[in-house]
Amino acid sequence: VTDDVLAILDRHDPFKVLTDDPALDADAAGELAAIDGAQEQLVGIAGDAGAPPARRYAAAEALLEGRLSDWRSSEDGVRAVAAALAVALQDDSIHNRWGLPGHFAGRLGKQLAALPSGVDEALSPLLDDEAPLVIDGSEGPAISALAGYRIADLAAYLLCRHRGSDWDAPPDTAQRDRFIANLRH
Amino acid sequence: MTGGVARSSVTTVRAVDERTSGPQPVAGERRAAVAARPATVPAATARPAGAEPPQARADPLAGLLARAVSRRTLARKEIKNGAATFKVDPYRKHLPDEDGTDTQRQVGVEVGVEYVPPGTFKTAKIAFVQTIKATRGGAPFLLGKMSGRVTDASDGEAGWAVDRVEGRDSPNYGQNNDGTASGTITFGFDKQLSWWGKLWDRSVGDAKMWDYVKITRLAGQAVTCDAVSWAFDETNGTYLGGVSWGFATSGGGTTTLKEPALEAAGGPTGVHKAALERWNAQADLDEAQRNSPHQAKVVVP
Repeated sequence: VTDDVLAILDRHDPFKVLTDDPALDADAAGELAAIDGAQEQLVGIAGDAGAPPARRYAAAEALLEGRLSDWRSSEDGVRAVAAALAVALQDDSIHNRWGLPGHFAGRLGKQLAALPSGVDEALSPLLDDEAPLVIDGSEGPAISALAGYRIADLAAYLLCRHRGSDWDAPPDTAQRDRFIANLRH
Repeated sequence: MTGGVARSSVTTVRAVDERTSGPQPVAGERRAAVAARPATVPAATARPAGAEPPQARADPLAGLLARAVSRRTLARKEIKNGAATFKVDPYRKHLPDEDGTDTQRQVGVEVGVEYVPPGTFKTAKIAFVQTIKATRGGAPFLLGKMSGRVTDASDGEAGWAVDRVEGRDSPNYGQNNDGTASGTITFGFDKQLSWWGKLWDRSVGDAKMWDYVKITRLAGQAVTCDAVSWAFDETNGTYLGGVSWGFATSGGGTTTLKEPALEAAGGPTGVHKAALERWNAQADLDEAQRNSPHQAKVVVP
């Protein structure tokens, strides 16, 4: 991985972005796209479980931005992005951009669920995560607090969207856990 | 706030133990709250959860009194609107233990609003339509599809919108897409029971909504939120008045709740009416720009 790619990625910490805007603006994405071999490097960073989560998150955002698209036709590329996004979802500071179970998928939730492969493997470990979702807004936080929505529920919801199956999760948490258990392979 | 306070208002206030009312705040805010927590925690918040305050150990009665006025207290406010009554309960800050700490974290308010119609009222459904405006760091705070229906300066004031979570069709707060009430709303109605029947069924009539506004702030960022909960008689297509509430968090991280008040005795006017019109305009946009594919229009008075 070249220093210029790392420098651009490390200037952007997606975990600190509170809005729904992508962490990398058009200028940064343009800079990356102009670097020879950047796409392969970004795929490598996104798929590197030992890399800092913020760097993996930024690499995934850069690949999703649209200028670089060859990775979408590569099994390894798609799986790397799915893995990076799942780690980002789990540790994110705000979950509106991922979605609210049973209501909507956010910008990143939609993109993760639409990936053709690697989504099951990436989201399955999150089905055990009991950490509460961090939802901003008015009705959204009320719904989330009332239902006790957790990372596990959001992962399950996105998994259902990925598989094209209905989200029929019961409101009761214990019953919902049984619904989630049935989603596991 | 806009719009005039019409007939009546005012009020009784009493203390209620938060443990006995309403859903409780979600504990722990993962990365935002934990990673950004200050190195030194104010003494008042350093007490282990559930531990008695110092004065309670010294004097049991003083401890009871202290608890009654501590962070566990909240106000119930009743606001008369002619023969009807709005009740605001609960009404409390989100994460009061962290109030005044200038950290990255969610700030907000938990609020319940109940509309008690006059005993002679006849309707099959009372819902709530809510208008809201929030800012963060001086900029409008807009999420998801809300930016597609927000008022601008030409409406008299920028930033107001009908408050519905993305993916929901109805403008009625808390209403599911199949028309049923979600857990955040109880629709009011009159079963048109006999006088005798109403003696036994005390639940008739009241509409209740529960909201929990949370907005993540960065250290140093001020946050504001103003909202009006409008009781709406869907059967007869008329508004039954609206109650304003909200909060402001200073750049230093101190949150102040706004005093609930009767915004109007009847229907939305001014910028609130404009927000309803903006909702209806959004419903006419392409599907991708709507709040939901089947976004239903709202009654504009």
